[in-house]
Amino acid sequence: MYLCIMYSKELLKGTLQTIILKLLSEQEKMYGYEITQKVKELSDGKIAITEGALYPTLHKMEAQGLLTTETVNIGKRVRKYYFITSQGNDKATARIEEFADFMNTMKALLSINLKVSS
Amino acid sequence: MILPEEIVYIEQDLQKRGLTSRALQSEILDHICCAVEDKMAQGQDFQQAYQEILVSFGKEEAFPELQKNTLKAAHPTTRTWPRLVAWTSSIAACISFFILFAGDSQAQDFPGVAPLRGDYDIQQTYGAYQHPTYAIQEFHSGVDLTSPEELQVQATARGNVQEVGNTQEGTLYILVQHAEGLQTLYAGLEEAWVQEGQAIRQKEFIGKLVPAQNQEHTGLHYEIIWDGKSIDPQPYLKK
Repeated sequence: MYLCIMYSKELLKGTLQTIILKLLSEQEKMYGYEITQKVKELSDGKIAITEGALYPTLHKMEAQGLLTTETVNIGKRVRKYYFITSQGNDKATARIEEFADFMNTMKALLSINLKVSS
Repeated sequence: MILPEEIVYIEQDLQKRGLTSRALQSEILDHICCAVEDKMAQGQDFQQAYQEILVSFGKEEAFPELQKNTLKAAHPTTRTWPRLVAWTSSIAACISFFILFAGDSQAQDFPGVAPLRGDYDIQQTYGAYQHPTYAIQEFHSGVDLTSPEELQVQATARGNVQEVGNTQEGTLYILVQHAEGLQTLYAGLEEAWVQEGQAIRQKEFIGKLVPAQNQEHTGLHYEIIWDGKSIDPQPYLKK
């Protein structure tokens, strides 16, 4: 699904929506390309989201009411900005908590010592 | 900075590569232009940058694939019910209809006529089908009807207009509420002659279809919805 260098497909499947929700809960509006660049930057280049994964996900989230959009004219092109809705914000919180819980569960199951990086 | 003629070039090239949805075209165009600009800022020339971006998108079918997946993800009405559920709800609906059809005065409350008067043709039936372009299983949640003479659409049962709105194809649809849990949907309209909340009689004209040559999706898309799930309307079209 994504093009990713460090993590396996199974781990990343299902987290794309959570990533998008988190980003848009912290930044008022973003467009598709901006989202891919931000993820690359925040993940230190370890996660590169493909367009084939990103756009279907963004459109699905819009249809589900988690995001709204606004198109802006920038000269010769039109840019579509995504915003999070209040429903999306609630989902973001729930998903992030769920993922944190998942990490703790896996940590226990796999006996990992999670190194907390500063 | 990317030049205007370069933007046009990309736009036309994307269309050739299978990106035909206008809404998606502009979004992907912007994405690619940003990516090309970033590469050009690192010293590459336009063609070099553009070709590299295309490679990162994937193989030949990358764009039709992307378009298909995006439209599918955003499209709320394509349903893929397990066949058993569709079958069971059809049977349940039939039984309920049969019981309630007992009194003739109640016949008006349930779909018992076709939404188009006179002779009509069925363009597409209800149920699972193979998408004409993409090899995926789709589910047609209603029946598509056309008529050579009749463009006016009639309500197939007495009820109240629940919703009037726009479809993804740019036509109008009308959703009518009948008895509890029963709705009918009429889509592919050019005009809607009723308003939300309006009470309508069976066989009352509620709108007009887009003439056949003006649209790709020919005719009236008609659905009978029972308890939120579409059922096969064909048994309820009396010619």
